[in-house]
Amino acid sequence: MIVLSINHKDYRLLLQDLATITGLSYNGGDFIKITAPTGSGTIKMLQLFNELNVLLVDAVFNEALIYKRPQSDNRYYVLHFEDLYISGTTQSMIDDELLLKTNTHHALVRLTSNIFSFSEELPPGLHIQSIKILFDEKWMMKYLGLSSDTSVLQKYLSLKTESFDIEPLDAGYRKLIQEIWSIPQNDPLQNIYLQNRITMLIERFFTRLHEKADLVGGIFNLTQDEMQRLMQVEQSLVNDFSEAPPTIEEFSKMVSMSSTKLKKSFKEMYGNSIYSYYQKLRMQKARELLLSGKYSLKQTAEAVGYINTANFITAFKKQYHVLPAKLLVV
Amino acid sequence: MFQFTYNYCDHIEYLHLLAASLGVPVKDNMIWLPRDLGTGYIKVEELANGLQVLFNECILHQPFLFHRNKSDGNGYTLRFDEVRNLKALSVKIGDIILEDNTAIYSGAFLSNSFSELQYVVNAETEGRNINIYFTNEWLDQYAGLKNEGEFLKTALTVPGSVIHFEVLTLAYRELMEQIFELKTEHPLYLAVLQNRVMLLLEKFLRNFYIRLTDETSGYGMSENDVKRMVQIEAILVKDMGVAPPPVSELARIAMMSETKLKNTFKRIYQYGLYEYYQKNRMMKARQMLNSKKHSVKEVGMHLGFKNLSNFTIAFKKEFNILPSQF
Repeated sequence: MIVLSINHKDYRLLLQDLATITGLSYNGGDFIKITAPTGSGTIKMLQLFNELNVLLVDAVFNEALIYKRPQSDNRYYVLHFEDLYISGTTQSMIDDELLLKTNTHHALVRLTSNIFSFSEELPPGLHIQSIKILFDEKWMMKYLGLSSDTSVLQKYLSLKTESFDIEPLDAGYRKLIQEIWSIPQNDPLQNIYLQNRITMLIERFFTRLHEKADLVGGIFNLTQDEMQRLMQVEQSLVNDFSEAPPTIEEFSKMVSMSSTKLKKSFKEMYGNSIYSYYQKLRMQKARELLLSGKYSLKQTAEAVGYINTANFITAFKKQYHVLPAKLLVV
Repeated sequence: MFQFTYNYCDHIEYLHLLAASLGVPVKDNMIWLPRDLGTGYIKVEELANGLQVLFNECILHQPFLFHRNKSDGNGYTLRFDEVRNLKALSVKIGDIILEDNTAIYSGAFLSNSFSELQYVVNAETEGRNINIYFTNEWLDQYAGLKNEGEFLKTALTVPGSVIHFEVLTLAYRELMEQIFELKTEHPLYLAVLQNRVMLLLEKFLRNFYIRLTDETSGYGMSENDVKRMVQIEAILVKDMGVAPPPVSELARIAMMSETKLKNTFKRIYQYGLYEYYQKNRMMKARQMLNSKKHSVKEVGMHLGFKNLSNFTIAFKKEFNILPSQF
């Protein structure tokens, strides 16, 4: 079991701590490679020029991982963007509230702060894909004009573990995250590029938090359980594009919700109807495949479930206003 | 003619110098033009990351001569312009003089404190622009243009270098639109503004870098052709309520064959002539609906749709949402 106890704001120190505990080699640089027997993958830190600390995680640990932050008066915040397929159980604890998640897909954005103590236990073998952005009160005031007294923020944080499921990782976030992960090496504009994508993620979260202010106040008519079920639907939608997604009726059975309620609530939570959401992400996936340069047009079309390439081209053009073949040339 | 001469400085100082010369007060880093000169405002915002952005929307009532002397500082101004009713433009940068009597200008260009800049615009010129001011230190500290980027920075610093001109593509126009649409009451006003400004800057630097390093890129056509396309683009976006002239007419204006016009336009603006017009039209529709001042019907009519359902279909096609749901 790996236990990381953190009471500082420095992600470089975190990498150092991790190396010390696991015996992984670390040269004090920007990233650490996770190797056997500890696990696999990488963890990378970025320190952006506008004083943001960012951690990019794409790793699997062979042991359980426990991550703890004590409560402290030197206030700071961490915005988490996570995409996890949980098999087994994760435990999160905020202050005195415990949240367990078992065998589920967890694709969420959440904000935590050291106003409360926080700990998290992840089971071994979990593929962790996340981006964490750390900033303090001073930064938040300077760049966002928000203080810890801002009512929206206070309400959100006071929900503790209940705040976890409020903001799903939707197509808008996924696009930015994808762009962050696919930054080419040696790009002279790397800093501006990353800085812009990271601040756009932050902007999106806080804009939506304001939009949902009513929901944070408790007026929203979905329960936490219903939100969980909707996330299950989203997960099956984006799981595999090569096969047609379940029908609304099947979904409705799967999550025990009437189809009318399902359609309405999905739209409320994800901003798009079920099918247009599916289509959007599917095309996003196709774009990603084409840009990787590894797939032909036909292969891409098949990977996202089009038997007829012409239909794929039409659909792609509709979303991006450019022919898919154009991306292949790059 | 109103003349204004000053030495290159940051936007805040510029605004105060201009205000003093016009005899108008500066309030919250903003001035209103005096009646005899024009109608409109000039405003400066200081962003949290150290950038200064100046924007203005105005119509001039008399000609304006702008003269900026070079200075010892190391500032840069990246300027994005959308201009209408400009009849003749004469620009002087360092020792280079550009005269254009057919000027219909919309574009982006970067200038620096190492060269003198002067231009004259006629009365009735109507336009809006966004100016981003930054310094060498800013490039080091915030943009992190070190190592690989050092080369880019050097290219930016060449004194009196030719203007790095870019046509205003739809992506630029969209960001500009978002900036002008943004209301100060927005809970994240400064953050949203800063992000849009940074995206404009990123896009410009990216294109600038590509053109520096890749000989085969650029627009791959003569300067004259680029200029004509800027002229054609201006005609397309001039009035969204009126259908653009037919291609044959545009070809005559651009003095090239229809085929060449279509190809050249697409190369620069990425969209076909009509498609480009339609996209701008829908952007305008979104902006009008966003302002909450117009009904769907009014917007459709204003944009020249005689049949409202055609408008609904076109809008849905562009944004995947019905105008009434917007």
